[in-house]
Amino acid sequence: MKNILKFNPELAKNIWLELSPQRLVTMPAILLLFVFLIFSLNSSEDNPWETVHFFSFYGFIFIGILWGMKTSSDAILDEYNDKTWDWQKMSSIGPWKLALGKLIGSTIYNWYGALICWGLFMYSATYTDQPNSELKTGFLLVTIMIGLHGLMILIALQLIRRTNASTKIKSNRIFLTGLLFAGVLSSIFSYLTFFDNGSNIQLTWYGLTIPTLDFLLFSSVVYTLWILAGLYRSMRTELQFTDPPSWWLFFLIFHFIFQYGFFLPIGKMFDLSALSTTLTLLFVETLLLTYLLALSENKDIVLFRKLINALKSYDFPTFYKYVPLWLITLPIAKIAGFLVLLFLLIFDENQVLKTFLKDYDLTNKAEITGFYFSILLFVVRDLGILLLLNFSNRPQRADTSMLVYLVLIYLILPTLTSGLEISVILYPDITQGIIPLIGFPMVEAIAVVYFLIKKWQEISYNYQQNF
Amino acid sequence: MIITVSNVTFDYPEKRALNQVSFQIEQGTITALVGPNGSGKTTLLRSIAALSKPMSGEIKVNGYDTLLQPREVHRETGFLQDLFGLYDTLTVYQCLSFMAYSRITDQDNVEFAIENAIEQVGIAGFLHKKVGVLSRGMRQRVGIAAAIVHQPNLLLLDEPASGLDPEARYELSKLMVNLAEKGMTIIVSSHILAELADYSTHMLVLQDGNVVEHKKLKSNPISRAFVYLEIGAEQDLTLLLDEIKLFRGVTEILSMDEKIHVKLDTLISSKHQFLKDLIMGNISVNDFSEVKVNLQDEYIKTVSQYKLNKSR
Repeated sequence: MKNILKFNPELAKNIWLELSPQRLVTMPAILLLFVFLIFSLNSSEDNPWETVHFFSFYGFIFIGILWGMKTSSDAILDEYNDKTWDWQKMSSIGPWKLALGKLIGSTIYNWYGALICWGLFMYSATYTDQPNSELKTGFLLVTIMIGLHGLMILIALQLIRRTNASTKIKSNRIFLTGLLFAGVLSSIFSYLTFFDNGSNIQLTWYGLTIPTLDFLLFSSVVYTLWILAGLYRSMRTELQFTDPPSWWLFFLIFHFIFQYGFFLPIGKMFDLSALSTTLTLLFVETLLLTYLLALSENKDIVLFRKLINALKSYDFPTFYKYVPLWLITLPIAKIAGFLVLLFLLIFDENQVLKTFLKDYDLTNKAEITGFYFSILLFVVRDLGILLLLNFSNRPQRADTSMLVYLVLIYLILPTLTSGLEISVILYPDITQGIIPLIGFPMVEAIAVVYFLIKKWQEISYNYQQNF
Repeated sequence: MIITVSNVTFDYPEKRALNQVSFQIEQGTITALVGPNGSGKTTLLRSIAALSKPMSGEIKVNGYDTLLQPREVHRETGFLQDLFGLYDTLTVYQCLSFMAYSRITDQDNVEFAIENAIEQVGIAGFLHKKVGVLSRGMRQRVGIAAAIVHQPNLLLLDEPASGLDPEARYELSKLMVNLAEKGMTIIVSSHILAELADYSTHMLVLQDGNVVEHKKLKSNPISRAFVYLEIGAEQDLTLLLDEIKLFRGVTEILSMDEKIHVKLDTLISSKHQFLKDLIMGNISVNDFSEVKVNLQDEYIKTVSQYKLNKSR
């Protein structure tokens, strides 16, 4: 044990916490009992290894992935709730060691069970019709497990950073978010692989034709590495390093380049249509990420005072160090959107928009320009309201209130008022003509910004009065 | 100076916790950090420990900037929080081993450091007990051992005596003195001012996020040299004063309310020796008691003065 302590104290601690002799015996006993049952209940004409293969697959998903997701999100939250996290923050363990100690250590019991299932899955794969693709699926499962556990820890770290120290956090929210993400991921994977199992469906990426499963494995590895990089950066923040968000920008650039490869025709390295499509995708993704990050990151007034002080004193490195991710994702969304607009206006080039907005006249340059600005103005309105809620005297439920507001504005109210033609007040609606398209969101955005400035002045005045 | 705090302002969204706070702390001192709830004590300790980042200003611990070199500050500092947690299902030894291996970079010294911490806080008797079954006092000791296992120069303790029984408090006081004797600088925040008076050399008073007072309580942190003695006597006080003045260890003497107050340097003479000298000197002693420096009185006086100034 001393060697593990020397190698990674966090891992050693987790081994002590998670692996008791009873637990070490229970897991294989239950799993082997299962295999024994399969062999005893199997009829003579069926191959029992195929049944083992099926159950070991779901065993891995349940024990390794799903249960592991819960354990990994608890790993940080338990430390935070039990007031041991500050010990960790003051330790000399490097961010990589701490991240890996948490990632592997906290879920070591899940790994223990999952690896038994994995061994059974890989062995029984030789008894299936397509052993090669089953073996690849085995490696894909391990990558997904690491990626999702990493993501859970990342979300947990994000959550503790924005929570008041005296508040206890429950892991249910994180687990449900993770489940949702895992659900979307598995739907995509199932669609691309399992339903087409045997048909050798292939993807084209940067002119290369790659079997889908191979590509999924490759992209899972790459994105898992990005999650690990994010985990490393997040651990650095916890260990009180102040880093600029450069890696987030690198990730967005990488993501753009990665997606560009899907739309590129074979034999070409540059294509206007592919570029325009990728930019449209980036615009939508970065807009969604802006909302998601804005809802999940810390938005207390102190941070913004720090940022404004830095700007006032032209201290751009400090500004860059403390700037929240949503605030740098938004300009990227704006730039991507602006380029999409330019491509549409100059080259009349955008297959995605032409497909999704096929009922509208995309040749009307004024309307399409108005549509872009309308989107931006509504974003300003929404983010302004989010900040107003967070700067209020009771900011505890600000983000939840904002979520309710978003559902109301973009889902419930448009449905309820579908015949009244007031959609242009709620969200960008290209069908309503250029003046209402720009006018309403502009009035709303100006009003929100006005109230935000008033609130800011009030808070600054209060600080000055108290001291 | 082991700590230099310069113009530190710390804001929370709803209030300012520290307002342009500046002070310096010498190596080897024990500073009592006192102030009412919400005065900014915990925020100040967390900022010194490089766990919270102030809005503006600078804090240096042993020359390391808490904002620019937080990891170096962590190496220099041990911090036991008011509500600290330990891993309840680990044994005391496992817990300390984890803390030691995660805090000490020189792996060859870890085992020695663990033994040293165990000896310093006196927990050798229950190393193999689970942390979760320990009493509050024992748990506090394990917490302190975890905070000092990497042999820091600075120890920050936030309300370490809260919830402890009188015996455990006494043991904690002794431990503070022992650690200071070994050269450790200690800042301890507490509401129990009488106990702080037992071992503190300095007092830092925080009120509404401002430093109201930072003063020296005793000249020598290690000796805790001065105690006050009260002697009830039936003899001629003036004659007695001249006589007692010559006794070993007596540094100050005065008569008050028909009683004699003696300030005794315990490095030169113990209370026991002084009493013996009195009896040998044929002085009739009716009452012999230690009068503690009343830190609480000093604190109340300081805070009252601050409030008076503020209202003006």
